[in-house]
Amino acid sequence: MEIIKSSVHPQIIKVEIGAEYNEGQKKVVGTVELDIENQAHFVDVINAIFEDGRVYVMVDMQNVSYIDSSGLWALFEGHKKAAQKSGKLVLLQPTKDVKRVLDITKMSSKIQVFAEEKLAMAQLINDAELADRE
Amino acid sequence: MTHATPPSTKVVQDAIHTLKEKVVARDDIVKKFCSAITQGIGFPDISLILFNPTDGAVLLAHSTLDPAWLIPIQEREWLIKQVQKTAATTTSPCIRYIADRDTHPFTDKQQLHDDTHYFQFDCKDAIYVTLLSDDNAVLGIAAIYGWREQRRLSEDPYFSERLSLVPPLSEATAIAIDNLLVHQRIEGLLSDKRELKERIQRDEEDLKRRLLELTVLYDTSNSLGYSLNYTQIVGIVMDALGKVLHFDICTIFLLDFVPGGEIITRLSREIDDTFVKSAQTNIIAATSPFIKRRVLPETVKTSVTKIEIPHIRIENPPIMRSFANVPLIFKEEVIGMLNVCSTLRNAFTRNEMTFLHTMANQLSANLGRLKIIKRLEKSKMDAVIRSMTDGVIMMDDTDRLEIINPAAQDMLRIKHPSTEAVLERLSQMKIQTLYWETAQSGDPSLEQEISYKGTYFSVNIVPVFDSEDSRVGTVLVFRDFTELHKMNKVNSQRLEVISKVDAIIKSISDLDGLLSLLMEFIMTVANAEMGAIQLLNGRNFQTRVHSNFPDKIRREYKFISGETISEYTAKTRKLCLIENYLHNPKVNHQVKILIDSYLCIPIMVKDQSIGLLNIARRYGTDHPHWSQDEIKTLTTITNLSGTAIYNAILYQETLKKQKLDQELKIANEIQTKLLPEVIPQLIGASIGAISVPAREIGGDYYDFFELENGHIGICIADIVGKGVPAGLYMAMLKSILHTHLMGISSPKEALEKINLLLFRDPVIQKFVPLFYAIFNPNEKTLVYANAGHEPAVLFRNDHHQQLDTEGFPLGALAESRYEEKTITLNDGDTLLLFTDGFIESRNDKGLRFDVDQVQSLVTQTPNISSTAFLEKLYAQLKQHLDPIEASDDVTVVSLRINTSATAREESPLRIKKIRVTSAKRFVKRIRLETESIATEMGFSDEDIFNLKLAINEAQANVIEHAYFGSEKGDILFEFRIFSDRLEVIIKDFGPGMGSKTIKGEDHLDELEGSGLGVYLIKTMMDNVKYNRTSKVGTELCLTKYLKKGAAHGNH
Repeated sequence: MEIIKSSVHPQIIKVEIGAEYNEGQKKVVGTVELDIENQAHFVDVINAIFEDGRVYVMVDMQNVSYIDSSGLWALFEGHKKAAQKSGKLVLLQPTKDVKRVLDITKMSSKIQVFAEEKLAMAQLINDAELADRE
Repeated sequence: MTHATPPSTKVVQDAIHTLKEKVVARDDIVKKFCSAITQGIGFPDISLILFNPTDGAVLLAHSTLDPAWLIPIQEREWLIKQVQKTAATTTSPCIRYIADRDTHPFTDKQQLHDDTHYFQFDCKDAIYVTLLSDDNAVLGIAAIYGWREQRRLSEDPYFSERLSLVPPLSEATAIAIDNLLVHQRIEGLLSDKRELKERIQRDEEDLKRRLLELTVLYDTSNSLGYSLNYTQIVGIVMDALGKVLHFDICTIFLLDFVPGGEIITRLSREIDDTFVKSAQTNIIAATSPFIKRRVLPETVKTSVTKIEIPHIRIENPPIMRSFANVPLIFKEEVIGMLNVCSTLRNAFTRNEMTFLHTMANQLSANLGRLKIIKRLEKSKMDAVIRSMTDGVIMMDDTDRLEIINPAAQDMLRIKHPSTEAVLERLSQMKIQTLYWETAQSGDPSLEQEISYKGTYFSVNIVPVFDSEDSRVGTVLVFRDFTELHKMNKVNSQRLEVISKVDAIIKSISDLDGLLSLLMEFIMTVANAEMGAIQLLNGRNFQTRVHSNFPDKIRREYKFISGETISEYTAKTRKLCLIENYLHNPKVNHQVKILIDSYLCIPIMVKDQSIGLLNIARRYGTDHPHWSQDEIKTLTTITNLSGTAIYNAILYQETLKKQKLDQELKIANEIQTKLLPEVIPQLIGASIGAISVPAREIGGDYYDFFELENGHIGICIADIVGKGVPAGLYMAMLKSILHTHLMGISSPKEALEKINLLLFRDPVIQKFVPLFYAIFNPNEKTLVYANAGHEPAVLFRNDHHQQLDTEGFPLGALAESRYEEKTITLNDGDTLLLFTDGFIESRNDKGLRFDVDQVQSLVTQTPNISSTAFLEKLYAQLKQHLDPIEASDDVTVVSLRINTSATAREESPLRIKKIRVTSAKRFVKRIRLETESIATEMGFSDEDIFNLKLAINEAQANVIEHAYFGSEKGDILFEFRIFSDRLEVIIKDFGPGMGSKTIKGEDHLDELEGSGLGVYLIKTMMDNVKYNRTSKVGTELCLTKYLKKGAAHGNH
């Protein structure tokens, strides 16, 4: 599993997950199953973002073909930590099955899920501005 | 005789003028008058007497004759009388010419006679003049005569002329005398006035001084009344003296306030030290005669204060010209001396001396009063302090001993109390410095612990202050806490012992090790030659460890009644001490080894005696008896040991239990692994097996063998023995069976072969009862042979029969022969093979779980599979024997013949078993396996995802909760593929609790972690069932049905 972080906006970090990193495309490719075996790595990456002081995170889920409860837990923990720091973690383009699990577990009512990156960006930028105004 | 010359009026006039106008001295008046008579008037001679007009006393007598002729007293008196007679009539001087004295009555005839003879002349005439003052007082009398010229006055030609001049002259003379008198009186008055003035001045000064004296006296006596400090009193008196007296040195010597005496000196100017010294020596010398005892100057304490008057210089060396010593007397006893010195001559007047005496009296009175008060106080205090058990020493402000009570004398071993003795002792006790420091600083030092010659004291040193905060002394209180110290020492020794015992307890967990160490330790502490520790074992106390004190010897020490000392102690549960064993009439004296003391202490834990400590000291040793302290210490050790021993026993038991648990776990794992993972699946028949290990695992074994021609070998055995060894034998048996049974189609042959192998096996030296049957699923025939095992039971319709053959257990005899029988099974038949645990199972009422009960269950459940049947049977068994405390395993193998369609549905088409460890990496493997099976079965993509997720979650649950994350556990997955569903049985062998996690919650907030997994399992699967068929581990059964219309895969 490869996870890359990129700053898509001064305040927003995008996290992408994939099977491997493709040097040519400069992105991660290949499907990944987020489970008990590899979720710890994902948690480390998310925590590192918060430790850097970045609190607006979007996690691109399009390559995640499978997720179990520990994977869900990892996402939910990220969401809670972001909220504690007055930030936000959102999910981007989950696969059908993952989306279903998110719905079954009512996780999607807690964590915002976006089908398009633009919408997610707009939402996060808006949140960040609102927070700055306060 | 010369011729008479006329009188000189001028001379007379001059004389009169002088006499009248000027104040002339008396001598001059006399001279003037006489010379005027003789030289002026010209009479030859005159004799004059002047009187004091006040008292008539003769003031002066004058005569021109030599020797002087004085008017005879008789004539004087007559003349004065005449004046008094005529006083009222005349004021002028009385002039009388007496022509013939011889005939005149006033004449002193004798005198006349003498005169006549003397002068050789008749001396008949004379003029008498009486000088009178203004107030007719007789100032003087004069007599004028001519005896020297030996002629009568009247014979002179100028007699009358001359006579006439006498009155004015006399008058002037009288005036002059009068004037002189007046003048003299005025002079006298003036001088009186001066004297008076001086006297008044003197009186005033005197009064002033008296006033000062009185004021000082008053003030002083006031101040003195309030003071209870002798130095203060002396100071006040010296101040007072300084105000009134002009001394240079004031020295006061006091005999009684400081032992040896004290001299207090005050200087009012700079004075050489040697002089001060000599003043001090002098005062001692001055005092000595008044007192009986001897004063040693070197022991006298001295102190000098100065009134600073820096600019006065004094001759060096000074000479003391005035000094005064006043003894200080109180109640007829000399208590000291007061001395004042001054360089001035007559420095101290009479009045000042009076004052000095008064002050000395005041000083004496106050010091005496102070002495009495102190004596009273001291006697009161003495009485209190004497009665105190604490040692009390009181030192005064000059650090002299004031009071020492008998307790202190005793404690400090001071026979003859004195300041020196006390101070020396304090120094020996090394608290003298502390005493000085305390006295200096004024801060008490409390509870100082010191030891002196084996005695331990707690010392309080407390300075005492009067109301004006000046230190009046120091109190030292000594408390002897030697006993306490000893107790503390004993206690600390005991604590040491306790900590050692504690260390022993902590260092040793095995009971025997603990006991031998304790024994050794107690022997050392008790200084005993013999000792034994007995522990309660059942009802008796058994010797577990001893030192020179085996039971044989120990039991000799007994009471006459025959009861041993330890038995007696065990009965009374109280310490028993026998001293002087040989002379104790209550005990048996027929003993091999002589002892002097025997101590038996019960080892108590929570009011229960768990053992006995016996120790003895041999006869003839140096210390045959134990002291109370030793016994106390031993009791403490025993008490502590009790707990230690008790803990060790508990620990041992716990260890035993842990060992058992561990063994059970291992055996269970072995058994689980040895028992077949796959039960053969048959058409028209079902095989099932259940094995419930007891707490202590036994050697129950069953197995299935898929033989040639689709025949199934079924075996059940009971290996004698328990635990791990039984498990190991089972493993060996399994490997022998699997190696050799495969090619044998006859149970008889099979048993004979295995018998030989086991008989020859160098390891398995055991008999193995074993029942072996071969089932032909096609013909439903069963061939069986029994090697000494429980016979099988066949339930057919409403009756049952035993299937048995003759034969010894395997491994018993080398040449054992076995027989085999054949039976054809009908539809509905149920064959049960079981170990003896099953039929021997008894409930608490002693009832047998017998075949009849099994029979009725068989009849009630004709169409269920063997597995389902055994589940019901087990449930009934549990209920019947609840709670299961089976001491034996229960193992049952079932073979049911059921050719109906329902039964077929009950049977899985295929079973796939996968065993993995609890490592996380196998999660993915199972996921792939699930995907493969589910895909093959025709589940939809969504259901495949669901199955993967549910099974994964179950696996994760086992990893986390059954094995707590350890990778060493085993997880068994059994995929049972039915025509309509997939059942997945997930079995673990971990100690964790799986049941809690299965309940699950619907709320997301509570679904974090494992809760979420359980929620997912429940959501994703159609049925979730939790089993706990064995004591170890958990079994979870997940079911997912194929949706209608879905393809049935390859089946």
